[in-house]
Amino acid sequence: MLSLTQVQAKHTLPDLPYDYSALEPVISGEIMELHHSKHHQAYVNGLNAASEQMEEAQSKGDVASMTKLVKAINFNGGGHINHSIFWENLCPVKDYRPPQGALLEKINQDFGSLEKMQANLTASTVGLQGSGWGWLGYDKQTDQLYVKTMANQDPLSCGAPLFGIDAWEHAYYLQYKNVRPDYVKAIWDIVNWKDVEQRFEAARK
Amino acid sequence: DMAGMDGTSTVEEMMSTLPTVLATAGPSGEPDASATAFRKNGGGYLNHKMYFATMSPEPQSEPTPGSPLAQAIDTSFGSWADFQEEMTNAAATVFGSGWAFLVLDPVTGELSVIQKPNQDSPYMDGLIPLLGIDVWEHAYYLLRGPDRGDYISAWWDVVDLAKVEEAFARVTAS
Repeated sequence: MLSLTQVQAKHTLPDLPYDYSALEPVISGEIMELHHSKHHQAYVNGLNAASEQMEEAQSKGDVASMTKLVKAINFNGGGHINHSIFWENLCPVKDYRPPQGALLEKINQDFGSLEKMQANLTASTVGLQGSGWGWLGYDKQTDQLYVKTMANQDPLSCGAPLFGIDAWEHAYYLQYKNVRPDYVKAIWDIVNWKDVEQRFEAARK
Repeated sequence: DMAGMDGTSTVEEMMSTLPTVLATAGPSGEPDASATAFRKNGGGYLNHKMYFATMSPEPQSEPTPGSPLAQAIDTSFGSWADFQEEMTNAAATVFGSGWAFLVLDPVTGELSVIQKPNQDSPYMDGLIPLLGIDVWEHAYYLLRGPDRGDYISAWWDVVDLAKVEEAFARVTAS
């Protein structure tokens, strides 16, 4: 019998901070609607289903099932985490302002300049094979900003994710077709640097 | 320099040597860049070549009854329907970009269904691909959006078993 304290709250799809069409012309409303209401929703649903099955397997001590479910939780949980960050990492073009303060200082320190960091993350994301994400991350242990790509929906494996670029085809294909470089180049116009700066501050604590 | 890149080996042969080549790590622990590029482009070339060759607008939808392929499918899967179910399920459950393949193990003579990530080729495992379905999003997104299941169902309507039987005859002849 599960007590109320054992029942996990279900994961839910977060609302976007803006309308589906708000990121045009960089990302079309059509993509945003599919990406949020279908893809991200599917990760949330998958995570809830896998979590429920995992709870049941754990309560039975069914290790075989538990190990099988780890993959589904990694994939769907990672998808939920990554997309939740992504929506907040972006803002409409009209609200864009360049990075500033401690984050800008650290970018200049660790990469030489903002342009060099952008070139680095752009090249990594464009060069990523298959599905995955390009990340700007911060490693508190080494006090370093770094660029890293992760495959599929694997969450950033070390340090804190600050800004991510979704390189899955569903993130750009309807608008940019196979020309991922055009999408990655354009996305820099809608980076919500305030959000990235806040993540950096939180990661440094 | 990758083994076989002197024009004397087929792309299939070079793919078979790839696991060994990839295992040879460079100073940074990463596989050789040219090996990685060959895995992506060589695999992509072979996979798509077969994919387009095994579809047609007026396909033979099932294997010829009693044919060597039909018998091999029954032996390895139980029935054509059982094979379809396994192939469909494999295609539907690939995480991220990749393929589902019907492959022949040339050592055991058995058929099986496998998944491969990105553009990895079954030749890398010493297996011979007979039929494959591309489940990268680019294969279906413009027509069907996120609905991969819909695309897989529809794909069965254009799979041409005549082509698969030809390939099976070719690879089992040697």
